[in-house]
Amino acid sequence: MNRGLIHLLTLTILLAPAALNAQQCANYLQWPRWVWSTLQWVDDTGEATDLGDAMYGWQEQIDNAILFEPSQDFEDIIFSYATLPTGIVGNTIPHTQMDNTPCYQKTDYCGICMNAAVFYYAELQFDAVQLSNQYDTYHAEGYVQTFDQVMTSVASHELGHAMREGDLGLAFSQIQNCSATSVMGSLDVDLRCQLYLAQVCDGGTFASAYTGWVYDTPICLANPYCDIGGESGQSCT
Amino acid sequence: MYKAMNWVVLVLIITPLSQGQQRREAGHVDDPSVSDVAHFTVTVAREYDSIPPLYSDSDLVVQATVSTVFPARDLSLSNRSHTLVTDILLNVKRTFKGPTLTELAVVQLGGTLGKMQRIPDQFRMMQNGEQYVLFLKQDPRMQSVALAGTVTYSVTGGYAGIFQLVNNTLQLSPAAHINLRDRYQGKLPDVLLADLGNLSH
Repeated sequence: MNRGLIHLLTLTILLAPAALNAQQCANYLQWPRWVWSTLQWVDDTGEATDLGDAMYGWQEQIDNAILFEPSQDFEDIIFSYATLPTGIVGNTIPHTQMDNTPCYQKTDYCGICMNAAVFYYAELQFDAVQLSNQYDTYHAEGYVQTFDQVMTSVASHELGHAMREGDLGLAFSQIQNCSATSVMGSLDVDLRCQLYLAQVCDGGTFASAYTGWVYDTPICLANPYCDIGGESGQSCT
Repeated sequence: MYKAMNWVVLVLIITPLSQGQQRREAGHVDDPSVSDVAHFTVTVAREYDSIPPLYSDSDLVVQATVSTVFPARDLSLSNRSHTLVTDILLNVKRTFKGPTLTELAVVQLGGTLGKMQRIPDQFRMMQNGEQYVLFLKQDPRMQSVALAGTVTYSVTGGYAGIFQLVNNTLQLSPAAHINLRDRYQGKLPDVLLADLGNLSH
């Protein structure tokens, strides 16, 4: 066989999986980013164990760049059940510093402008009835064993949006041999491919989305954000 | 001395007010008189990349015109969260699948209620007078009491089953699958109508 052809074949074999994986990671959204590296969550679903698994999964993939802890003083992430139109199993609503806050357009002690690019809090909603129906379907087909797997998978996905990650946007028919490497697929893809927690490439998308971003530092923690009477409370320009 | 004390009192009063409410505090109660506008993104049960599965999963496929858009309802199940949905009445022009109706209701996630607004990133909220080809699933859970006599549907696939007819071209949801967009976005409605015609025969 022609040596050039062999090289080309070898190169194709080597690069093909990488290209496939690259194609099957989700991109990031032009969404707000968190300035707090510890987010406090409140749960109105009663599924704290599943939510905890999902949050721990994210912490692992993003090297603890953001930590999650139960609400003490704040409600940064609100998990709740909701009645959603059929076919929609989850919903993430980001609220930014544009919403309901006098911090609007002031800089914090790190110099970050408290505008629409910065999270105020996020609502993560789940439809319990539809998730239960999905569990029945995929359990009967042998894809999932427990409802917890379904709940954890959707929670990981919605948390992905709160971490600024977009949807994978692929139909199951396009996921060859379940090669998807992101929890940001439709529920159909995530459950059939047993993707319940954030994956390595989700961590990569997070890293891209937060490149150059400054989290709270000791000086920021020591001083209240948006102290509009303080030296950092300058209007954004 | 009195003057100094007045200043101290004034500072004590003003200082907490000047600390911006930069972070939502535990137990926060929303003030309905304050503007609350937020975008949202949904997660769908299934991603549709072609018409046959979208058609197959739908109870009703119609061409219809929006006649009335109602103010949003809040279906929240938590006092910390809000779920706005909007009921939309449509007049049916043509039926490709399902019962022949003259009027139907479609519920969309999002909308406006007082000073609260929820804006979808992946699809458009339907407006009065607009024309659509819609792939729909009957949705008794979303039935509004005010529209008790009208069967209520949801859009199949969240954002997939909604094709707007604008100046004789098709406009798909921004989040519609790339394969659907490649085939139908900006194309003449005849392309979709022909595909539907083939499926309904």
